[in-house]
Amino acid sequence: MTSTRIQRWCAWSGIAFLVIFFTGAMMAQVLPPPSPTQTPAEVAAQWSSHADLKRAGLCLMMISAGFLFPFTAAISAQLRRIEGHTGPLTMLQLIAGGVGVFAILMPTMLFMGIAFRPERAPEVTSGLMDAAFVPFVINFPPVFAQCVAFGLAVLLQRGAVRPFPRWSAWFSFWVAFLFLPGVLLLFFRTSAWAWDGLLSFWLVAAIFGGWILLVSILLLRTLRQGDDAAAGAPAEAVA
Amino acid sequence: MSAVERPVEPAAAVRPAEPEPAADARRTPGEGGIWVFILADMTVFALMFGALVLLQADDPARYELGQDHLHVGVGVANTIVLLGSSLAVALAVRHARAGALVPARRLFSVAFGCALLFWALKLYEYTSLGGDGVSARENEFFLYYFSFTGVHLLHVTLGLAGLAGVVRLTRRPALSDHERSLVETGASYWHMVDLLWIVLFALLYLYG
Repeated sequence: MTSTRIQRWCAWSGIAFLVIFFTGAMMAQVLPPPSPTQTPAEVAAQWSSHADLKRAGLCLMMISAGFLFPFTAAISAQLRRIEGHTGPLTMLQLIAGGVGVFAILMPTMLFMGIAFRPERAPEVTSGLMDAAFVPFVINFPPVFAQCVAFGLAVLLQRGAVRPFPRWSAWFSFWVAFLFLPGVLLLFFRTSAWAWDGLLSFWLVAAIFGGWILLVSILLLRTLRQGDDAAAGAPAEAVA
Repeated sequence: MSAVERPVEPAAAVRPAEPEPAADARRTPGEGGIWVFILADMTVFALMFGALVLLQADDPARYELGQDHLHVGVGVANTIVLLGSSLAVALAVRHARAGALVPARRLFSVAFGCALLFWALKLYEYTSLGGDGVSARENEFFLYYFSFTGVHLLHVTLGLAGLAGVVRLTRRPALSDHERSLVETGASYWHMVDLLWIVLFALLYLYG
């Protein structure tokens, strides 16, 4: 088992995350998102219908989060090649990616709490829903830091060590930048900035998924070039 | 004939070993990637512009009522300020390419000053609207007015950082190819900020 081969599995797990996560989210009916203007009775009714399907979807969402660990590790393995040692960007990406798993798990587990006993008083379900859905969409710092660390490292590429194309850095900066206005969803329950809005939800969901897909593909492309260097084998192996 | 062709063969045999220039071309001029950022960012603004057009079509009277509260004079002033900064940046890039870094730095500083002025005018407009008792909660027009101009102001802020970086670069005695492409990168971004404001200004202050 070579490091290249392990990294290839890690890169594929980014794609596995996307498939499992979005499938689970659709089963749990958090995708497409319910409206933040729903009354408590409507929220409770939604969680009561197809309850087992929703529970299964939430299990998938929880499982999918685990795939982000190896995905994050694969990125940092390449960033380490760029930095030449386990430098600040390699570590930043690793920390942020690790905490990013929590950003998925935390709201998912709150959703699980809701789905566990949907027949409770509607006001309680509605309150839990707010407590779950706001962090679900608003929590950008981990993936923001991940995108910025990745982008900076890509711009630092020198000499023969160029695992990623330079434009992917600018794409990452753009993705990071677009997460910022998401904070507006805390202030508005209608419009494009609401938690089910075009800009706060759909755009962010698309670029979040798009970034993971892109980085997975770029990792696989780099690893396909397949020499030992791509796995970070030489020289650094001593470190 | 074959005698002519023969000397070509070794050259052809060398060709596979030649990907170096290709790698070189990728490394050297122009930060092509900034255009990924710019096109992607303009797509998002296009969504915002679409939201405004739909909002106007939905209820033209309410849209106009909202527009009546805005200070067109301040909007025009900000448009002129940004157009001026864009002109300064364009001239500065021309100087930088010619190696005349002193005038380039002056012009970039002018653009930086314009960006600060834009910020100040926007802040004045926000506080003045607030004084009139208008807030983003008033209706969707003002929600979009504040949030879209706010997102644009975020771009201006990033542009301030970019322009400051470019001013610093032009302090050097001479620019390497890489540094020159960084200067062009900052300038391209700034032109986008200007362009987006012009459309945003037209839609918010004049449209309908």
